[in-house]
Amino acid sequence: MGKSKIYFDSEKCLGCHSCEFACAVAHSVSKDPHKAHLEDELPIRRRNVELVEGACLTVGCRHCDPAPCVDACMAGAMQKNNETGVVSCNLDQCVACWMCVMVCPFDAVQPGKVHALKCDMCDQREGGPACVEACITGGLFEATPQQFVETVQARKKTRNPEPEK
Amino acid sequence: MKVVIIGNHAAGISAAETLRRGDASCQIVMISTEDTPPYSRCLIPMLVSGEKSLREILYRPATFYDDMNIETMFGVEAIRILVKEKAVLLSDGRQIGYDFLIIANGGTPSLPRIPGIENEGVFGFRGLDDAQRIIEYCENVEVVGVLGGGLVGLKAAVALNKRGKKVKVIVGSPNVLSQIIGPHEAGIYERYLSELGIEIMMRTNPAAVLGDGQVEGVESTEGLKIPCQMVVVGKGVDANRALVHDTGIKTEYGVVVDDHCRTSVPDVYAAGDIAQSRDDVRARLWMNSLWPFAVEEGRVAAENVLGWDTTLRPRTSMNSFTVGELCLITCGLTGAREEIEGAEEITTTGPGKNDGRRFVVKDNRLVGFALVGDVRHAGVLTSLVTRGVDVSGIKDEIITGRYSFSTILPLVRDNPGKFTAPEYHEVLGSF
Repeated sequence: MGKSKIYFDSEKCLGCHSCEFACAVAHSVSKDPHKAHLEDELPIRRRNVELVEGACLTVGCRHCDPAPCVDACMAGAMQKNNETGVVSCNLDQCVACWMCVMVCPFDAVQPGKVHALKCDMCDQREGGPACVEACITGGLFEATPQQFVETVQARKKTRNPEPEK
Repeated sequence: MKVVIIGNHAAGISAAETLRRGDASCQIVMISTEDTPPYSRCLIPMLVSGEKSLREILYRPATFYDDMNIETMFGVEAIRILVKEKAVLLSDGRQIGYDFLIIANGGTPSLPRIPGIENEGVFGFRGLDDAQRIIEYCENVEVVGVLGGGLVGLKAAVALNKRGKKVKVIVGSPNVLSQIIGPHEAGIYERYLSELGIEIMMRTNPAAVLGDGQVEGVESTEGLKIPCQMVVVGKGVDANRALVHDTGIKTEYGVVVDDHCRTSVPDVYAAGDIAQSRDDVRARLWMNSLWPFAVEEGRVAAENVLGWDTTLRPRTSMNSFTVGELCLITCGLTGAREEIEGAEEITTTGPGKNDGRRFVVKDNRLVGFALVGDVRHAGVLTSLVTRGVDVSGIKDEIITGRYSFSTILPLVRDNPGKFTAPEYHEVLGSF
């Protein structure tokens, strides 16, 4: 299946938090980096950069299949688009019960003031996911699961070349 | 292929959707006592409170059954499963044959057997008919007595409070939510509910519903008379097992299912509140009646009917409960319902006045938690509880509330046999 997702390469991550900032701006009212932080309610990022064992990790929604948050949603707000693979929360339907927060293994759904907050793959944004666009090193990138597996395998090969006969 | 689904709620709808997605042409028949569009039972409190209309508690379009090409037999009850004939006997005498059967007929509120319980004005709190009758009856009611201080009782209490009724909750235990949290966290809820104007009467057990034909009050076992004009019962739910009685389909508290949601009889599956399934923390079969599990079981049952060979995720008891701004998420053994030998219970309070946490650790494993107030990152803890991994390396982070996905990433990497979802590999592949 050719559904594309956001992947992450820890070797290219500088821990600069640009992805977090871009995500927050993309989910602000103004969409303007100079104005977003002045809005009545601070825009909230849906991606976190954190340190693990001396390296950086940026993690957001994996758009799981099947997605625990979709199973858990008692209001029918959390839905997976079977065409794009994107899991998103219909804000009009969300009743803030936090069943999704209870079951998300990636810590990718946050309880907001009135509804759940999570990555929507910037599906309304022309340039695609803002975090990917903001990542200057290419540490965040869009790929299909197949392309990602190939990338990982290729790297393993260059690191551990098969012994020559 | 003809698949018959008994029940049209979380589990049944999920099963039907999954079947239709996987097989455009299979015949799907849904049987239900209720003739209603697909509404969410969990949103019934919001209907009773007046926050939402019937249209607003639909979680699928009203045209769902047509859209999915499902044959509906609504307004009839499936009264018996005829295992040999591979058919379901209906209350109107008809027999419906099946190739595969998914039992998702749920449960019924259990009413205490006390004098006066049959009085007019006594209601369960589960289905749309309960809600509609409550809404109609409570017009002329000033005081409502709620029996039970569990999740259902408190949801009913809050809903009727919002509707403008004076509510008295009659609780047998020394604290509310005694099945899932301890007195420490329950105290936060009790204070919050009192501030809303809800009266909670602890250590009070109902002996009788008073009134001659119509509810006039509740009398406690100690002789205390509590005047009220309506009684809502939140005293648990009994699985609707009658239709499998003496059929050879194995039951205990509910219909026993395996990891594939198969019952003990071939081609018969069960899902939702009727099903009794694995509990990874208790290491035995357990009734974990909860929306997320009902949906998952319906999906897994359907996927196995389709031959996809899928299994349930690691699981244990859990729940999420929100009143106003006060949130609660619990998971696993919280030490409230059962004594856990050799377990360490750690409780913390703050920073906010409504923040409280409880962690239960046994043999270096997090076997349960309860978060009141700040429930952020709860899913990370849930994944640790359900998988039973050694958390000794991150115990400090957990009990001080400094946990997130990055805290558990090394455990995910070091326990590949326990964190098996492909999405974990995606994260590790890039790390």
